[in-house]
Amino acid sequence: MRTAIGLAAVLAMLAFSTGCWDRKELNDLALVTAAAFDRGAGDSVRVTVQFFIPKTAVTGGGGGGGGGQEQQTATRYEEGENIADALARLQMKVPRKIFWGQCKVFIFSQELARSGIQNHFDLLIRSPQFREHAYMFVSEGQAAAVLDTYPPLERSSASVIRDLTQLDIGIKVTVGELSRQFKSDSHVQMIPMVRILPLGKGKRAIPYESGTAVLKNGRMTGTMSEGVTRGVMWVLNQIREYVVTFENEEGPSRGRVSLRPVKASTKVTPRMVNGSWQVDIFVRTQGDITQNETLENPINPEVLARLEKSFSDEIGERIKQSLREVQRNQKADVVSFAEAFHRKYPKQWEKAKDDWEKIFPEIKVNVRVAARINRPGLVNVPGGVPYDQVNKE
Amino acid sequence: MVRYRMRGSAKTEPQPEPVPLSAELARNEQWIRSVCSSCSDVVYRPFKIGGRTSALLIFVDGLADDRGIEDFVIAPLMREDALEAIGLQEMLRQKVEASDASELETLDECVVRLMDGYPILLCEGELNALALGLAKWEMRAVEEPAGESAVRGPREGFTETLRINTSQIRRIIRSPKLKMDSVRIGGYTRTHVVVAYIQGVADAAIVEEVKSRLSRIQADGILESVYIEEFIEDNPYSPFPQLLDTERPDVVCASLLEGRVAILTEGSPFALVAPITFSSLMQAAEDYYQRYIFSTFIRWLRYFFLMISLLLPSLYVAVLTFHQEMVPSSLLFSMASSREDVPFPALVEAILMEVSFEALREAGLRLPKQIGSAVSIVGALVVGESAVQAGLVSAPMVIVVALTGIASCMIPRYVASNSIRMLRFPMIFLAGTLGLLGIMMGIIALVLHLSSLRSIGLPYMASLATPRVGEWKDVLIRAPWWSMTKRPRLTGTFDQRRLAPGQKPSKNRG
Repeated sequence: MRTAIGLAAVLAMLAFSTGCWDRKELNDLALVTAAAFDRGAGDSVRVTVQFFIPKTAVTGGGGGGGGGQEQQTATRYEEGENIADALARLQMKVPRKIFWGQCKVFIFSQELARSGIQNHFDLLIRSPQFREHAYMFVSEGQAAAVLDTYPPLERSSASVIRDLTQLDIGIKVTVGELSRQFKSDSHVQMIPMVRILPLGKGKRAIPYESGTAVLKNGRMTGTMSEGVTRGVMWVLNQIREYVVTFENEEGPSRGRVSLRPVKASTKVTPRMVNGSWQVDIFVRTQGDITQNETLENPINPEVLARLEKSFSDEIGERIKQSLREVQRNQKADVVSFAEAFHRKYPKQWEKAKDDWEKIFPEIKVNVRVAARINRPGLVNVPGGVPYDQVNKE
Repeated sequence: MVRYRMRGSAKTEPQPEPVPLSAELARNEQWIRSVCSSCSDVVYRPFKIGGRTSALLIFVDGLADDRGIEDFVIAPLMREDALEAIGLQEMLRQKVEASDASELETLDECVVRLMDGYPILLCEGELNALALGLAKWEMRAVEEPAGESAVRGPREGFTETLRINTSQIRRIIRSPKLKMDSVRIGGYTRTHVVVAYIQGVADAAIVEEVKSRLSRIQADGILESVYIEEFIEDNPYSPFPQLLDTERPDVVCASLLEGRVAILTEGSPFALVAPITFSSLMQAAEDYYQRYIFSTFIRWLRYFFLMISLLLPSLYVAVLTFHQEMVPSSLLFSMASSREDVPFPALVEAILMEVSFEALREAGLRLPKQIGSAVSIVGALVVGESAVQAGLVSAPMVIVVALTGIASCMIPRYVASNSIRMLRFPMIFLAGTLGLLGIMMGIIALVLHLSSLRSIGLPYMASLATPRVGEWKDVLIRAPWWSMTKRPRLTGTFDQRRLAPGQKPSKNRG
């Protein structure tokens, strides 16, 4: 009993003497939703932070002004020698403690990315206050401008880009993923790019994801268009749900056919043939018809075989085009061939890894596609066409 | 905590040498009158047997059957004339029309029986007195148990009268194997306490243990079964009940059939059942009276809400003050918005709300019924609506408290839900000071405590902690009756099989 009382007393003292050292009340926090990094004056870096404003979200009272939504976010910026320094200065301007636990978007400006982000990135991966699962972006213009948009549909511009990224249309790169890319054999990083999409008149605008920034050792060297990015995603086996539209080139009735959702799995096999570096890419893909502009009846097996041929040709062509761009123009191994060779031919890789930048553009790539159309959709024959016009064979 | 030492209460009624009855009626009367001086409810009714021998009938007014005394004792005896022929003894045996008439030899015995309500018959020249089984007093009718109602199942509840309660049990278990040992506890109240068990089913060691613990009790009065519970439980400092209290005869009988021991107390409609495990507290009588699939579902729900009842406010406080990054963004943003105007830290807010909820609950319970409803209306309005509007508490906190309140009502045993409700407060403090770490520490401490707890020697977490699948048939699920072939394994060896195996019905069995 005596020990119990003593223990209780100690526990009580412990509870009250600490002052709850880690405690941070929600009212005393400035919830950061996104952060943008631009180049400041001289050698400095400018950090712009988007906060969530808790007051405006209160839906009390009813009625309301009616005229226009209130902004739920605000931005503040500060310059410093590096990000940590800028953030320390920024805290002096913000009456609440800046809280990074909910910040899921980091944007670097293209200008900053071209001069290198490796030194800035260190903070994001080292400091425990940042989320490792936050998404990384490179903005086309000023990164701060992306945060200064106030979308009509979403709470903040940060959630717009985050939600768009999560649709898996383009690539998505988190802080943790980028850290792995920095350690990769190819020394090449990809970060999706954001642009600002003006929504007609007024100041409403939303950021959206478009294309990809290619970085070598943390220094941005070029951009890839959306099309090239998707081609790369086919090779990287990152295609999740996707719409493919292709021209039906064979058979009597020309026209476009769209498939959705297209799923794919890709196998990359590196080969060394007589000292030359080769890669076999085998894509297995399938999809359902969503739109059929031809007069063909896809329930007919012969027609279906023709459509599948066109489908696989289309995919193969896209991949080849993207690889051509990546190998010839970018000269950046965004498709991670380096890793594949390293795994399969470690000895040769060890000798060749310093020359990889020269080897990569010369790699011969063989693309093979096995495409399948699973379902013709709700109707067999083309909708909106009388039966007698449907191509019958 | 103050160390409590019992003072004086162990002192029992002084017991001098028993005084034998005298042949002189007047002396006996004088002795009893002196012992029962100032007892205005003791009635002395002198009369003459057969018009010659003087006799005295003493009884406590209100405890004896007046009509029965007149009709079956006094009237036949006064009419008697063959006294000399057969002698007083034989005459009394023949003529007194009472179901029970025991002979007493000492005056002390006479007083004891008198106080139990038995009318005492004293005769001139007799060295024995008769205690007549004509005790009768006003008692409450058998009603539906208020604390443990069931939609399906028997509606009978125990009353304050011990004999009614034992008869209710005997009516369910009609076997001479059902034993009911009687003990008297309490120096002044001399309360009847009955230990009921089924011979051959209950472990004899447990029965002995219960009896020996009961015999240790030295108190001047036992007013409720809780008095006994606190004297015989294994860990007096635990917030958890180590004996089950129930006002349902069917629950007691089910426990007896499982090999447990029941303790019934005169004056209390609550029987105690021991030994129990933690899972016993999570079983309601109705679990066994409705379809087992639904009962299993309800049980899972109960365990889930047990956790909510214990942890929800503390989890809310911990996440809001320490782990804001754990909440999904949009949820955190709306919580931040609703908390924006609240002047208190989450910890204070939670304590404030939980304390006022407890106060409301207690006030509603204790007040006269007519005012009770007013209290609940005011409470709901003030605490729920105005506090949020005034910005004193946030709306999510009200939801959390309301949900917790409902959750605590999901625990079928009122006493158990009390202990969980109380443990909520240290949990909130731990959450407010150490976050999830503190909650985890609290849970670990709680589990350690529960594991070390015993109920009449049986480990409290027995059925949950042992990896014996058979034991879980009545813990995590409620297995169908035909599959519960064995009694729960308590201590010792005994008749384990409770029903014949292979009784699963199917359409092929016709």
